[in-house]
Order: sequence, then C-alpha cells, then structure tokens
Amino acid sequence: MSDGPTLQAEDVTGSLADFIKQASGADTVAVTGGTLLAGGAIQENRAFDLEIFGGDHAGKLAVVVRTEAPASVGESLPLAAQFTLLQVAERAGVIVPKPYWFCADPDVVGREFYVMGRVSGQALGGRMVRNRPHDALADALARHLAALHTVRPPQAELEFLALPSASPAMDAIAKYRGYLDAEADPHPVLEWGLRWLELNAPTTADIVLCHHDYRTGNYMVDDGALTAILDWEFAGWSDFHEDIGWFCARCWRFGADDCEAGGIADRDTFYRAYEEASGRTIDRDVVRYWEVMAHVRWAIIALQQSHRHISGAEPSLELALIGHRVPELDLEILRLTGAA
Amino acid sequence: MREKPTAEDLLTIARQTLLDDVARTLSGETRYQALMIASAMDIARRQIEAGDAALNDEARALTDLLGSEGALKELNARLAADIRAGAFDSADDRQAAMLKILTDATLAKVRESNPRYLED
Repeated sequence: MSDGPTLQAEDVTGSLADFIKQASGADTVAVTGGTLLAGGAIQENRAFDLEIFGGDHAGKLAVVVRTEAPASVGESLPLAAQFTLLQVAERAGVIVPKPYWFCADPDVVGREFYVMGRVSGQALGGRMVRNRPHDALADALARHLAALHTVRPPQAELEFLALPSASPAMDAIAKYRGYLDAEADPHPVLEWGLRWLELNAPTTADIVLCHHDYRTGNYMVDDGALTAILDWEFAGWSDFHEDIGWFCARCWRFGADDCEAGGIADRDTFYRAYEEASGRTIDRDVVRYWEVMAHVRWAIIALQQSHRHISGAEPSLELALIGHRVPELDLEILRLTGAA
Repeated sequence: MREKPTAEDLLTIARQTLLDDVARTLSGETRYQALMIASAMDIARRQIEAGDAALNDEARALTDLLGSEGALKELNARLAADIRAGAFDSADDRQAAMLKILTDATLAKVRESNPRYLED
C-alpha cells in the first residue's frame, strides 16, 4: 500500500480481529484500543486489547501491533526477520515480548505487521541509572544475554542473517570504512580507531547470535524487575564479546560512569553472572576491543543521522544535536586506544 | 559598528528566558523540544565565543606534520587516508605529534559541543 499515514485505529480493529481469529483458530475475537505508543520515526507500535474466544489463545490478551516505515535504517532487518528473532530468542530462554503472529498481508492494517505481547514497565535509559547500583537487574541482564548466546550458527530459520565470518571484527571494520568513504567530510579520529581495531583484531572468535544493540535503553523494567529485551532489528552473528562490549561501553551509561556495566552496576557483577550462566570466560581485553568498536560504530551512526538533517533531507533539531555527540565519542576512542 | 547586544549575548539571554520562563510551563514532548532548543543555543554560543583559534592551530600543525599546504578539510582528508594506509602505525615521535593534533582538535570540539563531558 501507499506511504500514507499508517493504521488508523478505528479503521483496522475489524480486519485485525478477522486476522487474529484466523491465525489463532478462535471462534470470535474482539479488538479494542489502538493507542499509539512511544516509538521511533521508523517503527509504529500500537497497543490493543484482545478478547479471544476459543482457539489457541482463548482469554484476554494485552498486545502491541508493530509496523514499520518502508524506508528503514539501512542496517535494520525486515519485520518478518525481527519476528523470527523474537521467536528464536524466546525459545532460547531470553525474556522478550511474546511473539504471537506475523502478517505479511498489507491489506489488514495497511502494512505488514506483527503482534506481540504488551510488556509492563519502562525503558528510559536516563531513568534506569538513577538510584544505582541495580545489581539484581544487571545479573538478570547478564543471564539473559548468556541465554541468547546459546544460539549458534547455522540455524535454518535464521538464513536471512549474513553468514558469520571467521572474523566479525574485520567484517565490521570493512563495513565502517565503507560508510566513512560515503561521508562528505574526513574523520581522522575514526580512521585512527579503525586502524587500531584492524591491527589489534582478535585472532579467534566464538560466534553466537548477538543482539547488536543490547544496552540500557533497550530493555524494560517494571518495579525493579526485568520484563523484556527490546529492539531486535540489528541482531546478527558475531563474537559474544561484542554484545558485552556494547553493554559496557561508556557511551551507553547515560552519564553514570561509575557503573561501567550499562550505567547500572559494576563490571564484575555483570561479568560474574554472565560467566556463571554461560560457562564461558570473558576475555577482558577482547571486551575492551569491542568497546572501541562500539564507539566507532555509534559515532558513524550519529554522523549518518546528523547528515540527514544537514543535507536537508530531514530537517530536525534532534538529528542536528546527535551530530554534536561525535566529539565525545572521538575523545573516548582516543582515550581507549591510549592516544589521549 | 555592530548593534549590541551581539550574537553571544542574545543567545545567552534568549536561552535563559526559554529555560526560566517557557520550559517551566511545558511538559512531555514540548518540554523536551524546549530543552533541545536550549542545548542548540548553548552550542551555537560556545562556537561563536571560541572563534577560529583552534581551527587555525589545527591547520598549522597539520601543515607541519604532513609537509603540505591546503584547506583544513583537505589536510584532514590527507591525514585520514594516511592513517588508514598505516603511515602512523609505529609508536614514534611522528605518531605522537599526530595524536596530539587529533586530541587537541577533539578537546576543542568537545568544549563546544558538550563541555560537561570533561567535568567527570
């Protein structure tokens, strides 16, 4: 269908109910709600309440219907793939919004969509780091990450993921150099970071399914308890240290630098729980390596986002300000590589 | 003569008014936008106040380091290419000089874009 406004709640409850009735084998489905939940410019999440009679999911269900704008961020996975990842993660024991149904038919709500369970709590990073440390939360996050990392290639249903390479680090370096080549301005600090990463790349890697955006801000907490890991659109095969490095990267601590693990606890708390749950030993130097990579990656994303404003394609104060995060990311890259 | 109050003064007082008299009355999305506006005005003011001193230092230092003249953007492009090609891999004086240029330039930018980052 068109690029016009996405589902208008009043228009779609009927067709949504029909779809759910079919998908769940129900006798009747009543759909109410349609409140737009906070989301990005790309995703649209709407809350609905279902009452299902008969079939696989009889009873009341609080759900979220998620659609996506057609011109999504280059790296993010298509909606169907995200749904499959939720299923794979759930099966591996990771706490996620329950994946119910995926619908490829654009005529039901105007775009393809999936239905997932609605989770209680909130995810705001800035709030999460208040009243820290949160040791139990960090422990839980480490254990769920370890659960995700039990998924190894190959997996038939994850064929859409780029094949794992022998060196995910070298793959990332090549990709980021490609992005820098497309940028109008030179970025010598990022080139320094990437060259350092190239010269110091780990020689081996334990390849697992990585979330690729596992950090404070992407998990929901209700009354101190972890309720869901969100935002699976960047998942892919990589060294398990990459996810740990992203989680512990300074740029994702929301100012709570005293708590190196996600701004909520110290590293040892997080590492200990991860090692216990996974049976692996975390190589601290390799995590540090991926923290350098994390700052390079986030700096490049920030440059691309601010470029959307600068080019006039999407004038936006928020995008403009994201560009001004790059200097501190550059500084962190210089510090982490011993240059400053 | 240019009329006063000038750019930096105007940005300072406009931002203060926004925070003291406007943002206080807002909530949710519009309050968030007001805070972003205040942030943008702060960055703009600091860039005006800083002027070109750091940029001129950077250009001079890069000219010395690379042994060639050019606009700042061209000098940085040449440096970026040289770094990628491995010209600064050895931990020698030349690398140290290069890293000092990058660090000084980066610190100057952090002071303009987010000076609070240096407080921690």
